[in-house]
Amino acid sequence: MNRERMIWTGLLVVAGLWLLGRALWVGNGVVYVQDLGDVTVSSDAWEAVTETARPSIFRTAGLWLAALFTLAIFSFLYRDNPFYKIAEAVVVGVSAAYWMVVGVWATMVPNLFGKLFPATIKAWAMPGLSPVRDPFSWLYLVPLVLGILLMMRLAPKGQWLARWPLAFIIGTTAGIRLVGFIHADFLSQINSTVLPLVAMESGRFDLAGTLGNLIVVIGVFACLTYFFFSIEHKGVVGGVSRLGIWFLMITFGAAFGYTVMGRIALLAIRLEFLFDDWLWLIDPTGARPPM
Amino acid sequence: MLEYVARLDRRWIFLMMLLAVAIPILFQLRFPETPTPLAKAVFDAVENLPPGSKVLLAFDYDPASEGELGPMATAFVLHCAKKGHKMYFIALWPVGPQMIDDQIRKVIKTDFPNLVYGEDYVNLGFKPGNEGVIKVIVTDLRQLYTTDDKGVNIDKIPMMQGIRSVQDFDLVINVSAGYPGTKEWVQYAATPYGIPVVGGCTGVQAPLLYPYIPDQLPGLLGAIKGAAEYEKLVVDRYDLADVGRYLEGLRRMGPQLVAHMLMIFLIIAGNVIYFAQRRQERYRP
Amino acid sequence: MKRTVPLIITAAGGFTLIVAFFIPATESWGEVAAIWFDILAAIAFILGGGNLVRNHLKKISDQTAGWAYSVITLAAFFITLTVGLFKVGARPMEQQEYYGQRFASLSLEDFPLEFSVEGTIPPKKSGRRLPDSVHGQLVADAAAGTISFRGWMEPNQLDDLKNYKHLLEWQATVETLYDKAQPPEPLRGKAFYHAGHRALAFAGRMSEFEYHTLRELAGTPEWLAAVDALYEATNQTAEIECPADALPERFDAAAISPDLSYDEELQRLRFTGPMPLGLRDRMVRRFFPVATPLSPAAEQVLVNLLKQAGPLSEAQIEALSKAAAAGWTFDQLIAEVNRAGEPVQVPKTAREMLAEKQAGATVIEPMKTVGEKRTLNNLQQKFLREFDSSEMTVDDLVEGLRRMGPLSARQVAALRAFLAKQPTAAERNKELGFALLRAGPLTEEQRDLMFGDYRKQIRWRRYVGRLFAAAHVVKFPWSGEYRAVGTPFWWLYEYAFKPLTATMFAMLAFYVASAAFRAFRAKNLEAVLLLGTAFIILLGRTFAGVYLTSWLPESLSFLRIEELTIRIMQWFNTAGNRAIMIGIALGIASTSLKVLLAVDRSYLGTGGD
Repeated sequence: MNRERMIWTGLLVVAGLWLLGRALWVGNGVVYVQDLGDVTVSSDAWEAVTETARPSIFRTAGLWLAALFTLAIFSFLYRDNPFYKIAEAVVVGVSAAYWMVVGVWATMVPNLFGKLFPATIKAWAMPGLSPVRDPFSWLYLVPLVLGILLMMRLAPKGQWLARWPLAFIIGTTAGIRLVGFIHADFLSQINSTVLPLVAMESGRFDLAGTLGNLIVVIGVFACLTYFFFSIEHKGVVGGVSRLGIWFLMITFGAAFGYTVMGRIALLAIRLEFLFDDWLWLIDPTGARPPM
Repeated sequence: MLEYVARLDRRWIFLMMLLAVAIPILFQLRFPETPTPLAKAVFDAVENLPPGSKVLLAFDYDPASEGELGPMATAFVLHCAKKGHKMYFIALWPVGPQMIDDQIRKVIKTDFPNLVYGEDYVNLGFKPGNEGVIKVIVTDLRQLYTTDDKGVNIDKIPMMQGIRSVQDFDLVINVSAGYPGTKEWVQYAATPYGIPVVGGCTGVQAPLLYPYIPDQLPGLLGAIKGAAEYEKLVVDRYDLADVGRYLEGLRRMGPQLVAHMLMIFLIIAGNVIYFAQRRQERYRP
Repeated sequence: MKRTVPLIITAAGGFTLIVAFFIPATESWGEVAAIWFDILAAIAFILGGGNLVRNHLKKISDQTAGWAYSVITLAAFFITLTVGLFKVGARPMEQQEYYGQRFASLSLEDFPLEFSVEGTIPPKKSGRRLPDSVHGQLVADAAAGTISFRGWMEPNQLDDLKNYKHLLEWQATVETLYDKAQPPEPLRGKAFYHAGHRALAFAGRMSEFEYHTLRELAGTPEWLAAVDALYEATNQTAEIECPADALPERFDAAAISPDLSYDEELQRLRFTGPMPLGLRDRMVRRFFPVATPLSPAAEQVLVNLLKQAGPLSEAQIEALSKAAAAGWTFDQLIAEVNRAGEPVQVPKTAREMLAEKQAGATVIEPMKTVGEKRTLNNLQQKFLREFDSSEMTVDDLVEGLRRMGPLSARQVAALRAFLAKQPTAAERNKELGFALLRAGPLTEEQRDLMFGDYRKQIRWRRYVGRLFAAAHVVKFPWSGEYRAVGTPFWWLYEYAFKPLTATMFAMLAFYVASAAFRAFRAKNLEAVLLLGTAFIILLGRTFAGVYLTSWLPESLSFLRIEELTIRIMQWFNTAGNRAIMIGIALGIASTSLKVLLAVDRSYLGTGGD
């Protein structure tokens, strides 16, 4: 344990010294702004060359913090540690508040209060709103009341009242989904599977098309057979459902391949952030003048 | 030896993965790209519309999936701007407006400063409610979108004239990281109303959306590879192959290739060890 | 009560949406239900925040393990919430601020002027109201047969009224009313009444004469008070400190506006009245004029100057001329001005069309052509091509062009608009400097040469910006964008939320690698199929697949890995996922029905309360 700690301390000291040297010599990870008197706008290292942009301490500190947060999360790969836990705690708090703020400013103010009290909202926060109340605006009292009832979940008493809005949410979700899924995922899918088993391409036999259609039709049929658990999987049914399993395995293989692909892209953008925005080791977009 | 490798601390594998992605990025490895038919279908859907068509860009993703979807979104905005389409941005994810802002800054403000807000593009912002939002705006957009994202009355926005619902758009482009996303746009807009929808989505979703192709979803960009293909089509068509900002997807295919190779190597190595161990066990008295 | 009501609400909400789907007449019910749902979804975000606070407070008060992290979570939560809800640091929305105008509060009832014309408001289909924008302002007096308008009508109100009913007589009446409902001539374009904001407004500085004209319009105390307040507000002087060396060369305050002045002794810049956005930009561009295309000779002069200031490589010279060629050309400008000289189709006014109709015309064209074709003559073109912004202002240019031949107002506008969109000479030089830097290094002196003017321009712009801000009284402090760039809320998003969430998802790449090594074993045929497909996809979705099988002849091209990938996805994956999709759809449909028909009540919980 002691040896491990020594190695890590050594590594961190070396990395820290390198970073310090780089920050002093290159000045990496600086974010620039341009002060135009009435507004301060985002700027870049190019403008800094002309001496019209200045480093923003606020934003530069932010960028370094973002880099440290990124490293703090990565540190979990080695072992759980306080840095990771702090980062995790921050993200939970910030995201919950973020969604709340968005919910208030993007929906509750314009779509709820803006409908109920248009003139007030216009004068206060949304000058673009029409001050005239819709004749049916009283309908919006319903979601307001349901919303207040929903908040009863947080109250020590009367939590059962929160079931009403919940019931509404569940009911509408069920209603929306029932139709949507039957239409798009059932009927349309059956429709798309009714394919010609001998495909013709401008009057000539189309081998690839025929093969493709056959595979899709047989595959869907075989998989559905496999899903019908109520029938005993024996004999022909057993054979077909086994074919169905093979189809599903290929499907899962494809899903795995695609998933891997996606995950790696997510890692790549984080490393690009560290190397490009923070450390200035690479500059693929020409964001900075050559050193 | 075999035992040791089989019990290899997983942190070594983590390190391998880190290097497999980091080294190609640091050395900026690039590979050629050949677009597949699905990417071409997406490209054609945008390209074949006459200039000035109304395109709804629904950006349903967040920073967590920006690595995969950011490049697609950039390429979509670039393509629409180059083609002269009217762009209407909306978002069903709370963080979507930030994604829209980023793209507007990155593409429109930088390379198309002559495009006028409210006349050439407009940001309608985010509304919560998932498919509930699509369900409303597909028949009446103004019920939910009384103002744009900046709080400007929708009736005062020139390009909103004549837009009553999603059905008035010539094309819906959806960039999707999950729920709600392309699936919901297909379910509640494309299928019932026949609104043309094309999409770009994450690797996780892509295979699940294939059943909608081509009847309900004519084109789809799957993960970063789809982004790179589409990017290639756009930069080739508009001669932008030297603008680094527009080559993000292509750039990211470098680490992608090396990391895929590592994955294949790991699976094979895992199996070789497994079968070797089994054989040892069988011959052990 | 506790169980029955929710069941009824569930069924009502769900079936409304289902019925709305099948019966078009009930479509709006479905919309209403969906809107309520969307609003509740927003309120659910608040509930989420409340839950978080409650849980973490409990953790802290119980001092459970790791409670200190709960403190961090709550701190992050409340900081984000405060800066977001209060829009800390967000500038008011530029489009809504009415820059260049001052407001004085005046309610519609207190607005003393009413304008009326003969006519009636045509009936509309049931439920259709007059446009919201004229709410309360437009009233019909059926007995007298007149319609009257309170306030001064704005162009968008005219448009809304004309769109209310496409009937020539009505539209002509509205046009007449519009012309009547305007402030008297000397105040036109300066005095406004914004009924929606309940504000009397004035653009620019109000003169004594304008003040008296306004006062004489009515004698009610509310009116006089509003006019007095407006006079005072528009005559306030803003001043900022501005060193003389920050002033642009040939600075001339009077050339910009009579309300602008510079006090050389105290080194102060002053402006009286509200400043419009356009004036702010004009104050910069008047003294930092547009970049005119570099002639080969001028380019050579620049190269020589650069060479005197330091070494210059061939590559840099080439980059310079490439960058210089990227700017606008006189041909483009001439084409633009000539295009504006074409006769244009403009919509006729309703009164014109009505007159035609009454004169007995059967076919009425809605458009008319105005203006005659005007193209720049050779003299004008030659003069234009010699335009050099360092020697001549755009005003002088227009004046000169007018002297040499006809030039319509639209052409002048097109010329000005074209030039206003182009970079200033200082900005152009900066871009040239960047091009040089991309091709090689520049000495300090060379940089001064390329960036010196730009430095001055930005410095001057900063003082102009300060004056602009000082001359403005914010009207809607809460109208800003909560996530505007530069605000603390944006900062928290950009530098905490974004990197943290993105990195958490990026971690999955590591775990998927570890799982691949440990868990994927080709034990049987099914597993082999799965792994085989995954291999093909992993190879086929990168250049590796192309590289490995490009040797296959054209006749076997379908075996190339990238082709196999496409086929697997298109055929096998589609079949498998379609079957899954159908299965899930049936599952969701049956669950939904169970919920709506109250067969499944599990969502109500089991507790009796």
